[in-house]
Amino acid sequence: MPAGRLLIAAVAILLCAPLSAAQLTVIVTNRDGQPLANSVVTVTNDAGETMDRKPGTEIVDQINKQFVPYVKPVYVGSSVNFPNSDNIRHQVYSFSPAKRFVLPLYKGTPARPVVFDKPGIVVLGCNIHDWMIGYIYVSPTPWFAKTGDDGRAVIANLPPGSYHAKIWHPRMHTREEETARQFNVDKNNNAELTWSLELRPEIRPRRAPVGGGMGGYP
Amino acid sequence: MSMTERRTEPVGLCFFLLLIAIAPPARSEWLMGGEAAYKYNDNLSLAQQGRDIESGNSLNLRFSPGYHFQATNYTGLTLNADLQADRNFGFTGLSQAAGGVSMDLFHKFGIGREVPWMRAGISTDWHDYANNQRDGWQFTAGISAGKRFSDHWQTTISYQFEAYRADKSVDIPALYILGIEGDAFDTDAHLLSINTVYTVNYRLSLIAGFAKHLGEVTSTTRRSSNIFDASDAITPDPVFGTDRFAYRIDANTNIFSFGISYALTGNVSLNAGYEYRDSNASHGLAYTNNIFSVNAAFRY
Repeated sequence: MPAGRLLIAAVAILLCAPLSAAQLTVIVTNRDGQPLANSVVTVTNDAGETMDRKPGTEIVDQINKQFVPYVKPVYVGSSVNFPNSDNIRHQVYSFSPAKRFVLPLYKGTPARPVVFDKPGIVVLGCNIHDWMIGYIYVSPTPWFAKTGDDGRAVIANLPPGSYHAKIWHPRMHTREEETARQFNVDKNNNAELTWSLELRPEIRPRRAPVGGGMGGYP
Repeated sequence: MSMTERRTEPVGLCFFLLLIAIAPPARSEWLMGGEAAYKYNDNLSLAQQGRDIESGNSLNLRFSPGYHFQATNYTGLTLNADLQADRNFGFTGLSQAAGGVSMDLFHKFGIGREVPWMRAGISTDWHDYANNQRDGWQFTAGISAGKRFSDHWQTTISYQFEAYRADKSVDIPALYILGIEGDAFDTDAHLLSINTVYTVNYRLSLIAGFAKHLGEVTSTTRRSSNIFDASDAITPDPVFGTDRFAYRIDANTNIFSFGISYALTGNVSLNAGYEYRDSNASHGLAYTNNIFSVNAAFRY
C-alpha cells in the first residue's frame, strides 16, 4: 500500500478511535468542599453489558506499620499479595464476610496470595499493631477506579450506553446503594459526576500514646 | 565514682546487652517512648495539718528505649530501659534522676481489635535524689487485663505491688524518736485500679480512672506526738525544713483521675490530667492531694 494511504489510514484511526468509547470523570468531596481521596467509584451498564477483564494480581504492602494503600479496589476473582516491607513481623487478618483469612506472623512476602472471589468490602487488620487498618473493595464490575488526593477518578473506555455509578468511602454515612447516579455516554459526550459525602468521625485504635509515653507495647 | 553509681551502671548495661544478644532482628523491633511533663501538687508533703502542707511544681522527663519481641501470633515481650529526671522547683531535695529496667509480657486472647488481653510486668529503678536520704530502689510487679468493647470504649483493670527501699548506706544522723526506727522511706503498698478510655475520634481521647492505694506512705510533719504515736518510722526531713520529720504510716488512698489526650501526629500526643487523692490513715490521720499535669508524650 502506498505510504501516503498508510498515513491517511493511521490518522483516520487516531481520530476515530476515541470516538467509539467514552469516559466518566468523578469528583468526590467532603461536605466542606475538600477533595476526598480513597473513594471507590464503580460503574455498571444498565443493559447488562460488560467488558472482558481478567482478574489480576494486586499488592497491599505494609510500610511503617501501615497498610499501603489504605484503600485498594480490585476486580472480583483477583489475587492480592501482602508483602511486608517492614523489618518486623505482622499478622494480617480479616473477618469480613466477603473474605475471612488470617496470615500468621510473617516477614517478607507470604508464599501464596489471597484470592478475593466475592464482591464486597474487606477490612484488614494486624493483630500485633491494632491501629493498622486497610480496606480492599472487591468490585463486581470491571469498571471501577479510586479517587486520588485531588478527589478525582477517571473510568475510561466506556462503550456508549446508559450506566449507573456508585461511590464508596470507608467513613461515609450513607449506604453505597443510596449514592447511585444514572448517566449516559456516547461518542460525542463524556460524563462527569460529583459527589459530596458526609463522613463519620475516624474512630480506631490510636498509635500515639494515650496519657503518657511509657508502658508496654503495643 | 560513688557506691550508688557503681550499683546502677553494670546492672543496666548487662541487661541491655542481653536484650541485644537474644533478639533475632526479624522477630524483634526497637521501640522508643518518652514524655516531658509539668506537674503541680498542692500537698507535696502529704501532710494533714495545714501548717505542714507544702505545694510545689516540677518538670519531669522520661525516656524509655526498648525491644519488643513478638514470640507468637498472640504473645509478645517488651524490655525497656527506663530513664527519668525530675526537677522540683520549690523543694530541690525532691529533684532526682532515676534509671532502671522493666519487662512486660503481653498476651492477646485471640485475633482482632476487641479480644481481651493481659499484661504482666516487673520493673526496678534506682532513684538518686538531691536529698540523699531518699535515695533507693523501687520495685514493682503487676498484672493488668483489658478489652476494647467497641470502637469508642476500652477498659483496663490492674493490680500492682510497689516496694521502695532507701539506701541505708547514706550517712544521715541516726534518729530514734520515742524508740521508733528511722527508715521512714521504706514502703510497701498495693495498687488496684480501673481505667477507661473513650475515643472521641482518632485524635481525641478522654480518660477516667479510679485506684485504691493500700499500704505504707511517707508523709511529713512538724514535731507532733499524735502523729509520732501513729507512725512506725520517723526521720528528720530537711527537704521541707529543718523542723520537719518524715514519717511512715499505713494508709488507704482513693485516687480519682481524669484526663484528655490529643494526638498531634501518629506518634506524638499532648495530654492533660487531674488527680484527686483522698488518704485515710490510722489514728484518724487524713490528707488530700490535688495534682494537675500536662505532658507531651511520644512513642515510636
